[in-house]
Amino acid sequence: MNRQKLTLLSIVGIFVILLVVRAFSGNGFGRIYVERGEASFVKVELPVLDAPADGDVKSEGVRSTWVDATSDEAVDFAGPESPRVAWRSVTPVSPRVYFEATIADEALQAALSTPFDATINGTDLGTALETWRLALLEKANAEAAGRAEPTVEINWTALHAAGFKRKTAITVNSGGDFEASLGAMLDAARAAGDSDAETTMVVADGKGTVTTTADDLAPAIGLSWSRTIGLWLAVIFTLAIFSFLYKDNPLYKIAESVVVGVSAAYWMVISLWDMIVPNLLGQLFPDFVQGNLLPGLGDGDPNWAYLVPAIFGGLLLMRLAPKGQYLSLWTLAFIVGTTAALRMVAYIEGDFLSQINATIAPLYQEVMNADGTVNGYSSFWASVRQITLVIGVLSCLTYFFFSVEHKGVVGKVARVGIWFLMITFGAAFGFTVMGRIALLAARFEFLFDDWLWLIDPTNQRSVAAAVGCLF
Amino acid sequence: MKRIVPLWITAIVGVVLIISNFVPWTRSWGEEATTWFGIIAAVAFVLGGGSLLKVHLKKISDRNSGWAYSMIVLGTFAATLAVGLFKIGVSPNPSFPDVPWSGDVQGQGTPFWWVYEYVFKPLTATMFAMLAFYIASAAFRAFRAKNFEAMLLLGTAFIILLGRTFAGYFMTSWIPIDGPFSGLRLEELSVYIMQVFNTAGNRAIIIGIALGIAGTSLKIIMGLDRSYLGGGD
Amino acid sequence: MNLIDRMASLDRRWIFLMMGLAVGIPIIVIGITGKTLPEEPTPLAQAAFNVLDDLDPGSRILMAWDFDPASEGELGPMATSFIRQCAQKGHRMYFIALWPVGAQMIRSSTSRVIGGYYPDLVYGKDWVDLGFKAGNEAVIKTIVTDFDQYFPTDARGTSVDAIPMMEGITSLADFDALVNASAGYPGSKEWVLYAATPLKKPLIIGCTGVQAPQMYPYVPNQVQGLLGAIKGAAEYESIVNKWVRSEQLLDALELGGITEPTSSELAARFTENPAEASTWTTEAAAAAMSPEAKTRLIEIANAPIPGIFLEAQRRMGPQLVAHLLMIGLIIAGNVIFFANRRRGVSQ
Repeated sequence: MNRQKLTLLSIVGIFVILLVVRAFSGNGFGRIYVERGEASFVKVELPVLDAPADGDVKSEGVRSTWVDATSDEAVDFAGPESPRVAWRSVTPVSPRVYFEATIADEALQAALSTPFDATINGTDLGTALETWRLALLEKANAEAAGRAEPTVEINWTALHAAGFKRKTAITVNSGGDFEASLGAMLDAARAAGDSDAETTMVVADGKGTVTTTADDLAPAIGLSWSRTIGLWLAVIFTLAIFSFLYKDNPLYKIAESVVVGVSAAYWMVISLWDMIVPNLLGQLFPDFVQGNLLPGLGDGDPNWAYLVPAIFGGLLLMRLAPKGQYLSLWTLAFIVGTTAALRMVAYIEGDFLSQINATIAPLYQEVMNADGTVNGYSSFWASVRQITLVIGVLSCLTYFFFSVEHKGVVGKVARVGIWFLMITFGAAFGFTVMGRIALLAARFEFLFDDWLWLIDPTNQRSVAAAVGCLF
Repeated sequence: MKRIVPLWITAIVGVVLIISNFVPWTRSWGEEATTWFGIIAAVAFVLGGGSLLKVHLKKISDRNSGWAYSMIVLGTFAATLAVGLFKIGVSPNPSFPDVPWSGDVQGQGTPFWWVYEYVFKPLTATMFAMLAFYIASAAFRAFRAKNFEAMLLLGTAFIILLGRTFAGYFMTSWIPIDGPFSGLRLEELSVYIMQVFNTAGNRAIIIGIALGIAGTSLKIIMGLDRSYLGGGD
Repeated sequence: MNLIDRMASLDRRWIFLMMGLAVGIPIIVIGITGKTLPEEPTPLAQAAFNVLDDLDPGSRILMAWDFDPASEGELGPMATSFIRQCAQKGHRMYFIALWPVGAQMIRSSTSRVIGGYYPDLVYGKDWVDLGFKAGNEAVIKTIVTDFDQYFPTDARGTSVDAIPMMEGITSLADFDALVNASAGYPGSKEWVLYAATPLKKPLIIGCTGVQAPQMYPYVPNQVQGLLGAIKGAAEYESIVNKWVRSEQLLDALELGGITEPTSSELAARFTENPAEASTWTTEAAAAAMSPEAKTRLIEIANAPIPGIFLEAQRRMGPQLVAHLLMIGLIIAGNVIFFANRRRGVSQ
């Protein structure tokens, strides 16, 4: 038995090791890529023509507000002293974007070491670099062979800032590869007295950029370790739950404990931020909530009526206290009273009356043709349908009528009622099966698509990577 | 006192809410009560968390069997609560970048979102997906066509299971769609069963339950049904 | 031990394995081939589509997402298609959730559909996420008469007064239709009882297989469109996909100078048979169209449907095999039972 267990464990272990090795070599699988960037904002004073709707009014006709630092308003109205805030932003991208960027990067690198055979003599730096750029782009596109679209950019903003000018006339001897030619062109510009700043060619995210070394360029698209670890954790949890099908085990119990802890906390957090803060605290302490937690909340005066639910809420929590637990019954009474009153009216109106109303329709149903004549065949079947429906409802109700003994005619009708109910339960069973299977299918899709990259229904990855898991 | 106050609260809230359905100038009373109800419902989630804490702390302190699992429950509970309540790693709302607590705790990329996406979601979804396996096992062991009623049930289930997939269409596509027997095509038959037999059965159940709920509600509001207060009278 | 005995004492893990394979293999086959089974829409799915289609563009639609990841397998595709139809039609969408996790469902479905395929829609003008509110049916009951009381801000913390599309919304009565994707309580039944019945508003429900049979009695008086389980989702999905394709073709034809009623007729034809688009452009009738317009038309006619809009139809594959397995298991179980009983009697 022990040897058997050991064998099983080693097989599983080897399988897991192979899986992990495969996942993190080559294109791999089970990875999540993101594009990192920066979200930056600046506070500007915008002129307003109408009365300001929100924001603090500094003086008449001016509204102070935060805008995206790259927006037109920021360009027009922000000064060096304007308050600024920035933080890191992360956007998920599909693995395909990353793969294409990598292919484009490789194509660019390869193109850079091919010979650049145009002659740059007596032209200005701007034209020379543009010629070089277009030639490189053509080479890189040929290298990528349609699998990716590399781009090449000259960062003139940075070059200008360092002192390079488009109009500087340069003379360069032809020959050498693209990289050497670029260096030669810029050296010529330096020799012409433009600048002595260092320049560089950065290849990242499928884009080659000629810029100064001061312009710090780092790849934005890359693997997100936190999300990739998260995905693998999700897989472990999924398999841990499925492992219960084989037999109960500690891994399953751990997963079960995690779900209990996480969901209780999850609901608590959501109810606090989505309900208690805006709907209770926002009513009792509007200024505090507006100033610190929900700046978008409109201005308003405290609504002291909301002390009632606050007190009821507090009483409900008394259930956890060692003494005075009976006070929570007051809140329970409120909950029960509200629910009872809501249900009483709604069930009478929406269920009892409306359902009887829907049943009481003429037994003979007339179905018209397009030309206004009666369609006898359809009318016959529609009437059969309506009659069956009425018989069904009445016989089922008879069956539910327990204060009369089910004998004689009543018994026979009740038996028809049972048949109708059995068909109803059969239908319910069929639909339940359908639902359960769809849920299982969704989990398998997660494993095959998001994790193993076996299938790619939403075109997240290139075709090459889709079969990558097959070793 | 312990029982009288709750009974009065139930009665007053109940009556006010019912009246607010019929007397226009009392409508706002009803709205007020239902809004309060929502806030209390939100507090109930806090109570849920508190109860969980209490139960598992006791389990740990008593060293009950499986107390290590209780540690996991509490650990994950505390971690999720911390990243959620304190909005750890949450960037501010882009419209108000200077208010640090204005951010969206559920937004993509926050640690709280991470817990949802990679822990809560796979676990809850897989737990429900397991039912597909159990229903298959139950189908093999429990469903027996012992009598006419059971045969009706299973027959209907077969028609629904086939009629709601391509199999039904495939098996009976030889019946002409505009002929007199088109209703016998499995997909048509499953629609017919749902709209006539299932509707009749469920309608009777709905009517019965509605009467039961209305009756119970009335008894609760009038103080005749006190079972929710717990204990004997 | 004969076959019957062996079958009778079959370990349930073998059944689990069969179920796993019945669901897993079709997923891989469909995933690799990219083919889905054809769908024939039933009247209820068509009715759901018609309710939203008959409303004028710009109508206000309340979208209540009352489900969680546990039922996303069934309801996710419905949510996707509901949003797609509304977005394509130009309806204004208001999302709310009565389930705590519903807020995440709103985020994932809107970012997938609106973020991915309708990036021109403006948040606050074309759609708004009002987030989760606690209180179950009490929420519905309150917003039937007073919307602001429960929803002072949207899910992003902006006051509803500052959201353009919230102007003129004081209660549920100001909406033109209600759409609900529901996995239980609170959900479709509550929307029927507390909103659709008293307000007499059109209500479309997409619900899980467990709930669906219980919702049928409300059709058509209290519920106008009902999508039950993954089959309902697949039917509706196929209707919406077809319609979106024909709308796009219609736009392309009208941009190319083809006017009504010819354009509608052609759009319908090309939707049914994409290959006709390329042959038609060579005919004399298409002479008025510019070459770019023709290329665009052919491109649209032959463009594959994005994977996220085929989710339900893909899941009908495993559904088919698993249903057959279920039927097989029930029959096998009965054969064993009756064989044993007969043996018991004869012995």
